Amino acid sequence: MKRPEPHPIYHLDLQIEHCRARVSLNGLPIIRLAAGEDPRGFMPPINPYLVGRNEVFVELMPESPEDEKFETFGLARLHGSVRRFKKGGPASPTGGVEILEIEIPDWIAEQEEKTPPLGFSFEFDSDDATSFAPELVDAPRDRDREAAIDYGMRLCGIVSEGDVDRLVKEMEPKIEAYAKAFDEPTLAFRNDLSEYLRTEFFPLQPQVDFPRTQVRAQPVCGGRLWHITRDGGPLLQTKPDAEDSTREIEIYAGRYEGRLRIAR
Amino acid sequence: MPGHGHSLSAAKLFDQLRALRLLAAEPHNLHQLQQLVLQHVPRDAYAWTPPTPHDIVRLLVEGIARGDLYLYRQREQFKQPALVSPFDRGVPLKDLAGPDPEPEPQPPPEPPEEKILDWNIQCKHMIDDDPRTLERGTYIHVVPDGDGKAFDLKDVVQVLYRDDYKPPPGALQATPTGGATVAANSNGADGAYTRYPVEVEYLGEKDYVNFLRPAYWQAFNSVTKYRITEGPTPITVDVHYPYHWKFTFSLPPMRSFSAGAKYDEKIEHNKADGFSTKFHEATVTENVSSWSPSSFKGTAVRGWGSDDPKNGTVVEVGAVQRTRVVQAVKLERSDGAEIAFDRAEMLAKFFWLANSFNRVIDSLMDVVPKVGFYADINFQLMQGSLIVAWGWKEHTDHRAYRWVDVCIEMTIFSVKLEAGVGISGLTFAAQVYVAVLGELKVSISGSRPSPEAEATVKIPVESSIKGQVGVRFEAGYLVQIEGHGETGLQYNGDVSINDANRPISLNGQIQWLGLVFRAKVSVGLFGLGGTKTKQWQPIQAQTLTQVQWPEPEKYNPPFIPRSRIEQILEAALTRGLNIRVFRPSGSMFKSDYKWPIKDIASRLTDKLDASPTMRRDRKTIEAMAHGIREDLDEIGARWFRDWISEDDFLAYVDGAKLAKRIDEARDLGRELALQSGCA
Repeated sequence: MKRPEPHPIYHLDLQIEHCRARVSLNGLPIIRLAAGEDPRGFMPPINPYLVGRNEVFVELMPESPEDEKFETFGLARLHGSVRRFKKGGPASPTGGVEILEIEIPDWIAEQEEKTPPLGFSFEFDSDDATSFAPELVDAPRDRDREAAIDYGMRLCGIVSEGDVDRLVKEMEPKIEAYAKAFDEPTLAFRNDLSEYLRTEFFPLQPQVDFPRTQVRAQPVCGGRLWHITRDGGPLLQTKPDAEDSTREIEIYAGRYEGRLRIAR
Repeated sequence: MPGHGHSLSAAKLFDQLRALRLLAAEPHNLHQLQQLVLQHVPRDAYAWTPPTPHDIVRLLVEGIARGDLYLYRQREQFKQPALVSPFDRGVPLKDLAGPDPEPEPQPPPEPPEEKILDWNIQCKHMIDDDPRTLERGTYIHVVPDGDGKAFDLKDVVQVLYRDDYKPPPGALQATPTGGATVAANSNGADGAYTRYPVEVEYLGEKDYVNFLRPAYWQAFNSVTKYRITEGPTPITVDVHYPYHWKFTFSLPPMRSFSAGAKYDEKIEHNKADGFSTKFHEATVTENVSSWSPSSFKGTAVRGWGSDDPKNGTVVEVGAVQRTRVVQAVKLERSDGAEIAFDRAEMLAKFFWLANSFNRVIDSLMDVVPKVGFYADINFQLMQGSLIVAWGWKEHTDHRAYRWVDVCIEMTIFSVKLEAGVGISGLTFAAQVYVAVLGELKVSISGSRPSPEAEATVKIPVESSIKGQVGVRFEAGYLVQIEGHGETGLQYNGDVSINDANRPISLNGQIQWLGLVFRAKVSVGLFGLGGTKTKQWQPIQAQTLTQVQWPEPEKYNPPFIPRSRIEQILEAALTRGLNIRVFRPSGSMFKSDYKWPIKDIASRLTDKLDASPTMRRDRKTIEAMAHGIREDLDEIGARWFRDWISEDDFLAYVDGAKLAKRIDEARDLGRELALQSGCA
């Protein structure tokens, strides 16, 4: 029996010049970029955030925060796309199949007064990819920010104890989502994650000895997930190693059977 | 007369200057004015002896303007017999010297009674339709025409001599340094003056043509000195090197270099994945301020076609670049003589420079190609035109000066480079690519008009062509370059005009910035483990070459002989299982003919040895041998691992695959030398 074709892999690409931009997909922030004269770009994979009918929301801001009336709008360039690639193949901003083109809409350009941030949105369908609408769209909203911060502190405790298995368990919803998103066995993800945490992440002594007051919880996906960070960076981050290299794990937490766990 | 040290009113100053102009218009007054200068103008205001008529007037004007000098009307101030004052011509005194408190009636003009001793020197050349004349001069520089016509190495200096005290001599005596004295007979009178034409000639070395050699400049800077006696005073004549030279230069375009394959074939050329690659253009424009504009016109042309960022228009290589360098490099002498010179020696520096670009390619190829390597590189050097002419020229006074006329409209170098190398240490395939696009143009124009103008001009030339760094990676993962990454080329140097022993020279160095970038990359399967942020430096920065041109050089890159190539190939073909080539006998009862390994190596060596541009260093040949071995293994594997039919082998030897390998191993310097007609 012929094995079914794996799901295609979606990437969202954004390239900018002389501006700053934030992009969220289905309410989840996925790109934050700032560029001057030299263009900058980012093209993350987005399969774990797809919900079937997807909304891309772009916020465009001037290069300098002091440019309150966006007088440098004429210089700003923004171009992006959502592209579909074959699993195992290369991804690049000009390769694959373009599903959506992202440009600054004419109505934004024609506005006389441009008060930043200038927001505009796009929609696209991803029927050939797994939909995570139950988690990201249909799940009930969670308003308990303190609980999210507590959860962040609990994760820090697990990490400070070097408990790989507990951390993997906390990441179980993320593992499940990635397995569905990328058509790989859950076990492969779980083992790979355990191996990585044990051999690379924990040996580099993640910096988790900060007070609760430094932990932040920001609602995303319309309040269905919490983006838990600490002042100045991701919640879980290692010290730089001898080559000035660091490891980072961003935490998006959601409620599963009433309990907060790592969703993405 | 000394003045009072007070500045004059504008009206008075005007009158004074007008009086001075009228005085100076009379040649006989110049000597007196000269004495005035010597007596009243500080010695540090003029550096030579004697001051020229131009300088006399200038110094007096300055003196009057400062209030140090004042022209009085009293005749007693100017009793010298040779002086003819403007008053003698009936110029109203009031108009000349301003208000006089007690105007006195003019005495009637008295004819000069004293006898006159006077002379001047004339060169055969004209200034504003008048002969170049030096009043009472004792020293003059002349430059023969050097135009290839009769007597082009000679000049005739006329001495016009009036001596009312004694009869003029029948001849003056002219003696060149180290030569025999020649009599310069008078050839008649010019009014009260007797005319003596003195023939002078440049007797120094004239046949050196290689201006890269010191001997040329020794001859160029030498003078033949004549001493003329028996006249009113000894007169010295310096005869300069007579020829003017013109050098025209440009290089032919270089062929682009392509190797490997992109990780994603769909990625369009010259696209930094979303945005067009930035084009870095630096133009150094210099019109030397104290110089006149050049009499030449040039055209700067980019050496390669370029993609318009908006319209994708391709600009073709300019027609100038199609011209072979054998026509574009030209050395001409003012006498029209055919000048043969060693072009290879002249251009060798650029062949070395082209050769140094091989190191950029090497640095890219040395990176282990995890997901493939590709390079698409186009370097160009010295595209456009460089015209420089030089020689000695006579000035309006007694001097001669080193003249140079230069027009450079040239792209010193341009680069269009796109290359990709695999990123090491990742669990997924990723390729980082660099795109470097830019050029350094120089636009310089100027002609030195006089000895007062700056003799040597040095123009800084600097440019940094920063490249862009981008990534391609396996779908489902992410690689984000932080900052901009660092890659590109940098040039620091200068262009010197009329420097010692060079009409023009380029000095500097080109640096390849290598490749260094910091990136955030996925860790774990499809990035489940988050990200890792790290710095990579797959290619080290290095100085490619020092540019010092023109310098006499030879282009002699490493060269290994044919026999050594054959040895290296033989070693590669016998590594592990031997490569075996068979000619089928066509009969079941007769065994196939098996090529001796030496014959296989020899046949391949024929092909390599025949390439005029292939890099013939050991490393290249070993890499080539390794590649050939891989190709033959692949052909052999179609049947048995080590069985290759003669037909297949010969098809490979003469085929495109081996030709491509040889082409990818070419020496850009050797190729440029070949295109320049110097190989």
